[in-house]
Amino acid sequence: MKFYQYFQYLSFLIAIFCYKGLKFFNISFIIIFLLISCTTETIATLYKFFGWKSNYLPYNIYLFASSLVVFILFDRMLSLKMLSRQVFWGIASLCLLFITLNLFFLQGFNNFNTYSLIIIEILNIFFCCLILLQLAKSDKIIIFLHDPYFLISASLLLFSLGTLVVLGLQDFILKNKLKLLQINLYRVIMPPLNIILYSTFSVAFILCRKHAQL
Amino acid sequence: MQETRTVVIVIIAVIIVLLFLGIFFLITLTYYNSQKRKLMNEKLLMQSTFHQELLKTQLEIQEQTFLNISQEIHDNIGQALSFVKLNINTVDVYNPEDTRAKLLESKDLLTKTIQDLRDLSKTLNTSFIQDIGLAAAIEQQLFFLKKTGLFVTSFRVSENIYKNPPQTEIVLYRIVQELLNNIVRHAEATSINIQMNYLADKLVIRVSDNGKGFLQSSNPGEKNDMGLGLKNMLSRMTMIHGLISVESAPGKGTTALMELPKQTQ
Repeated sequence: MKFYQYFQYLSFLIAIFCYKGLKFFNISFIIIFLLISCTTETIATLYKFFGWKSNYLPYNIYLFASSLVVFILFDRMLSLKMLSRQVFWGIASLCLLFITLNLFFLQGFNNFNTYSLIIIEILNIFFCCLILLQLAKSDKIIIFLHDPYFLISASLLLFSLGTLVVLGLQDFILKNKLKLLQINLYRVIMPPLNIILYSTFSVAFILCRKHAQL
Repeated sequence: MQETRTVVIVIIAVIIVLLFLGIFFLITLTYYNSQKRKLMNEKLLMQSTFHQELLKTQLEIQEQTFLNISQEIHDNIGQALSFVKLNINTVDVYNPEDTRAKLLESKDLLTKTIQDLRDLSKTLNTSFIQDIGLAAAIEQQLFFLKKTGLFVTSFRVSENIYKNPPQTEIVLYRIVQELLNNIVRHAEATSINIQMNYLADKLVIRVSDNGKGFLQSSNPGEKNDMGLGLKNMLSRMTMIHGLISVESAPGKGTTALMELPKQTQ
């Protein structure tokens, strides 16, 4: 098991523990996202045990499943109205359609779906920025570092910015065996980004619980 | 090998730049939010101070009103009723002519007292000000003064009358009342003139008399009755975002000028 996976599991457990707080903030769907992430990572780690040649299949399925859940999460966090909500779901549906088409007809099940990943990360960056700007425009007095929406969006934004390049160029990195300090570039960059993402999530969940108790 | 190294450096540089941009965006937002929070807190504080001041002013106005009522009851109503009591006590039942005259006099006095009480009640009723409007309420005040026969009054109001928020109009009305009270008590005037000019952006009220006037102190901190009264009026006007100035000179009467920016309800 990779080191960052501990943070992932911990974050998942904290999310379950803080369920009421997440429900209070209308983001209980994040538990499903974490469940999908943890399951995928576990299966991907044990791919040899299943007799698979690579672990791309679980990751490709993860791209579709996690995107759907993340879009629902964004929808809840943005609290969009009528037309803007229709536009949001229009974009999300097109994205999900592309992921499906890519999975079945373009890059397939046995290659990592980098095209899908690039689109997902770009949309994640865009929607995270939208949530952050919405928070900044809000009439309420919000202390950003104490606000779960800010922490979740900010960590997801940084994670997406980092992974956009690393995972987008994953084929290239693997083919050319790009390494930094004798370690695969992917393994150098991904763990810190994951650790930052899941530990910030954990803090956000605890804050959700605290706010809900007040 | 060298090429691979360059590619790795480029990839890492791109990631660092992207992360830097993301962090810069987050820091900018946090800074903007902290500034906004500061402004909002200041606004809240100002609102709370404003409400406290408003409450204080309302209490002052109430205090002043009680004083006016007390004086009105003592000077007019009390006097009239004492006179009626005296009349009744001194009625000579064996002298029908005298009895009739005293009863008629008492009846007149009681009618006047009832009217005075009605006028006093109207003066105190703030919903009445909102119903008939500020201009009509001020005109009525002048009418009461005219009825005493001690003053010649004139009232002029421009067209395009609009309403300011009720709270503001009440404060303004009480200030005009206080100015009129000052004229009655101290000015020894025979003529009172009020002009109300509803301009597009502000309301201008001019209250003037032909009384004895007073020497305006060059020291604003000087504590005399007039100075304190003016200071109170000034603070009330400031609170409703208006201005008041008083011009006076011995033997040349007094003119008070009030300006209130148009306010939406």
